Amino acid sequence: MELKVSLKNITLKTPFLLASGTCGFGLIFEKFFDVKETATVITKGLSLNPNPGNPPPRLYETYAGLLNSIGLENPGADTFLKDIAPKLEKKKIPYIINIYGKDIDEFIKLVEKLNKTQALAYEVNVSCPNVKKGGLAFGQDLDTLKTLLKEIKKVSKKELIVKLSPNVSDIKPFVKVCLDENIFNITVANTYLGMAVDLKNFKPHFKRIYAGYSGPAIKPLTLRFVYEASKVSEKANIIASGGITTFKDVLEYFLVGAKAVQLGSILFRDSKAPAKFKESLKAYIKSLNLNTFEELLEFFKEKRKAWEV
Amino acid sequence: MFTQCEAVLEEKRILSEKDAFLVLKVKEKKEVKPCQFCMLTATFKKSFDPFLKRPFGILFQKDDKIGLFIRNFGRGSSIIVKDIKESFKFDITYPLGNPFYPKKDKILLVAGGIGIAGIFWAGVVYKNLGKKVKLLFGGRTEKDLEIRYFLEKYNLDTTYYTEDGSFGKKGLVSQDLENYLDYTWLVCGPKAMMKAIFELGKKLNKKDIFFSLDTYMACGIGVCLGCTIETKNGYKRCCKEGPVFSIEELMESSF
Ligand SMILES: Cc1cc2nc3c(=O)[nH]c(=O)nc-3n(C[C@H](O)[C@H](O)[C@H](O)COP(=O)(O)O)c2cc1C
Repeated sequence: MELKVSLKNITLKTPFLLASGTCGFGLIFEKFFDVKETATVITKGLSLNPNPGNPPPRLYETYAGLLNSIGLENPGADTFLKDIAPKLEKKKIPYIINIYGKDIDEFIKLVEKLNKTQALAYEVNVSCPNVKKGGLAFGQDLDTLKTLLKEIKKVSKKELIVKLSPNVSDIKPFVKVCLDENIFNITVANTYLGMAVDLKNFKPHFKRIYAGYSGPAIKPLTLRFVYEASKVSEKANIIASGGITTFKDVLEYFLVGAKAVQLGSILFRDSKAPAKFKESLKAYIKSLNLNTFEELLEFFKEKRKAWEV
Repeated sequence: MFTQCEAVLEEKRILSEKDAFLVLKVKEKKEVKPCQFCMLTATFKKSFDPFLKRPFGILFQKDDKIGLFIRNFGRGSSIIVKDIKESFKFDITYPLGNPFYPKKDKILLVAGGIGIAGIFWAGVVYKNLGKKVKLLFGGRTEKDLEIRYFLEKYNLDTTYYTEDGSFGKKGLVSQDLENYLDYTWLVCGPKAMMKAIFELGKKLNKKDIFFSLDTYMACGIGVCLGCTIETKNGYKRCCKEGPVFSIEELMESSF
């Protein structure tokens, strides 16, 4: 059954992506399923130079989810180009590079370096809550975001996906900024700002105090954002990222308007989830007497029309 | 290489109000090497709360069965120790972590309480490889050492310690270490115990001391970067570069 889905200038073999930071560089998932047939890998957030990340502790489990303060630990662009990209390309694993810079200049230098890879696209991370500079700061201010996207567009030889932050009161203007810059692929969203305290020692659990909340608990919140973002324009291709845990969650995101979904924290619990969801998706499409995934998206779109009041 | 599969709870013994001994039958058999661990779901029925799997040392392996020794520390382990009954189907990912093989032929295992789960199997494997293995196993009281009934059949040369003297030698498992200077030490136990041995090792300038660390983990397979510890050579993943680290790369703040 045909599961391919077309976003703006990118075609994915299936609507499943492995979310940035939850799959490393994707290679290890070859132990669990045939990655290139199942999902598109989004790399761990990559920066120009190696980044050691935040001091431990970096995790805190909450009810139905977790807080993380990884701080974008990554080996930097040169190591990625030398050691990682060739492996992904040799195995023909489709991948997207999640990119992060502390200022515009760094984003530009990074993109210039990565242009020679065979990555399908860049996912511009303007929503990481765990770093001092850049990150969220780009994703919470419309003008800053606009300037950043303009500059990256000038040097990028690849399609862009912007990964928006859920830590805003209204996501629609941020979607509009992307569309204004002719960027039509948008990931909604990232982790939610949260915190945890160590009551025994009367102090915050994390050294940076705040951390990012992910997992089942955030799904209804991100579902709302995905719905709102997809209503901004027909032209917006929304990729959902937030709390997908069961196949039902996957369908819910498609029903509210997502064209593809990212599997994140669920990979920690069930590393085979992408392969399971792929099989479930085929069965579901068949059960509705449809033939392809894109037909399912059309079917859901028709249903959505009746929602508008 | 590791796998993710179903693991059926075949046998569960409650050893004290807080400890349980579990035997799981795993669907896919993989060889467990010294100091490797598993990630196990800790939810009842179809619930997703608590969400993450839990890391547990693998106490032994026999055919398609593995043994675990679990203490009720928090929400996840409490469900496993108290609520889950025989024939329950877990989801397991195993064996994980970098196996540890010491160079020397004389190995001293130092286990504090639940820490036995992290290094016992290593002792059995080393012994089978022809090495001389000595185990020091300590707890607060006899109750903490109850797991020994399941371990004695492996015939490791063992000395027991209890703080209250209710079983074995009275005192701390770390009190006689200086009698074993010609052994390589492999240590696993509560933070305070490991820190004390770390300090002793530094004082003695003994270089072949290794610690099996346990930290909170989300994935166990090296992708989330959540279980890192501080070492002299920068942050290291406990699940991937570890769980065993040498005294030479650790620092006070690593524990
Ligand atoms: C441990 C961890 C590390 C993450 N690292 C990144 C990252 O490097 N870049 C990024 O854009 N998002 C990162 N994320 C966010 C995820 O990609 C995802 O958007 C978020 O976790 C919400 O989805 P989920 O609830 O399905 O996990 C990370 C999330 C987790 C839990």
